[in-house]
Amino acid sequence: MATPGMSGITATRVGHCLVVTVTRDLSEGVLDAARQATLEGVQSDGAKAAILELTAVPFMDSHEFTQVRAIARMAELLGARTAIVGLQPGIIAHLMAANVETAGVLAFLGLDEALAALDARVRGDHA
Amino acid sequence: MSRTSIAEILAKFDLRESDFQRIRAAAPVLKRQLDDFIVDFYKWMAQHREYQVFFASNPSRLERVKQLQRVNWNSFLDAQVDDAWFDARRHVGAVHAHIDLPNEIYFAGMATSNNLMADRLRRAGTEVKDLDATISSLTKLMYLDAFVVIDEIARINREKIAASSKALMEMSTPVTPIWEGILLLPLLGILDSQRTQDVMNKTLARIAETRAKVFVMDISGVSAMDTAVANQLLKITKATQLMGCETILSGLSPAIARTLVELGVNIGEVRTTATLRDSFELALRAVGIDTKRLSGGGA
Repeated sequence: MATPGMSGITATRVGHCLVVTVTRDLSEGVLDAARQATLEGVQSDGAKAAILELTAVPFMDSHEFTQVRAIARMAELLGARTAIVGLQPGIIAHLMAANVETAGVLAFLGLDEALAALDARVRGDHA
Repeated sequence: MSRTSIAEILAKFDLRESDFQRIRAAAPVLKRQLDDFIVDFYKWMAQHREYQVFFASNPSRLERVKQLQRVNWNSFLDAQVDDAWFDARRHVGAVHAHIDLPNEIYFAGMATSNNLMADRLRRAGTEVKDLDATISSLTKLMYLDAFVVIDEIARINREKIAASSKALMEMSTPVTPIWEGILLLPLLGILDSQRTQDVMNKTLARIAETRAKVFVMDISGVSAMDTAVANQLLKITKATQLMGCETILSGLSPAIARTLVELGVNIGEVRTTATLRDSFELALRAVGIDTKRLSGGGA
């Protein structure tokens, strides 16, 4: 039940988790679409967790990262534990050089790790 | 070496075709006495400590070097300064660099050779026309020969230094997997911003490669840390978090603990321990290994 994106965004449900995949550069339009897909997906499906999958994003500046982090926090406010997945080492080195704020960001290298960790956390929250 | 750069360098040493012609004209006199010249050269050489070092225990090497020298001076006296001539001199330089011959004995040897040859030309009488000009041409070519050899020795030494400093840089950040999902980096010596940048890049690459969950950075061997470096280390811990990998700082000394607090670092964000042992225990627990059972018994 993937929603084919008009703007490089695909939202997929995996178990309790909504996976939002970005397959393009994060221009402003793409970010808006990602925000909409994530927040509407979490609200309408009642997902307990969300993943922003950015493996295919080749470049990211500090402003775009801040926007991505904001989407994650919004989804958290809607009650979904949210993780960012697939940041490339080169992007991270650049973000660190630009002194971005990363407090509270949950991030993983790959989908497997993110799904396992979020699953454990969601179970923990409900235990 | 291209034709133009040979012309350029000959111009710098003020060597013209007339110089080469004078040397070629005088060559038969010197070639005839070459064996005698080499005997005199080694009489001089035997007075110096380097003779003991390079030849005393190795008479067959002495014979071989004499043979090479004969070939070398024959081509020198032919005075055909082309690519092959430069290559031959560079080869001499490479051999000298290989045995670590001190520059002083090489230069002294060239000066001695120059004097020995000039003496022979003076004694030759009427056979050498234009004696003063011939000696001066010989000296100029001698300088060029010595320059090419020494330049090659210097180039080889520069290469050695570059290679070893690269090796040192590699050795200074050994990010090593020590357990499934755990990377360890023991940092030693002095940290500067270039090295912390190198640490950051290597660490991120290794995490991507090994998919590590925990990164233990042991700074017990770091002699001094200023606030800028402490900031850089904290950036590394943040960066690894963006790859889903937790960093544990181990081996904090009292002085470094003080630096971190005075920086106003929120210690809650970074896990730190005083000893590597404690860090390792935390790391094992983070990847889901029961350390009590590992230590045997599990009381």
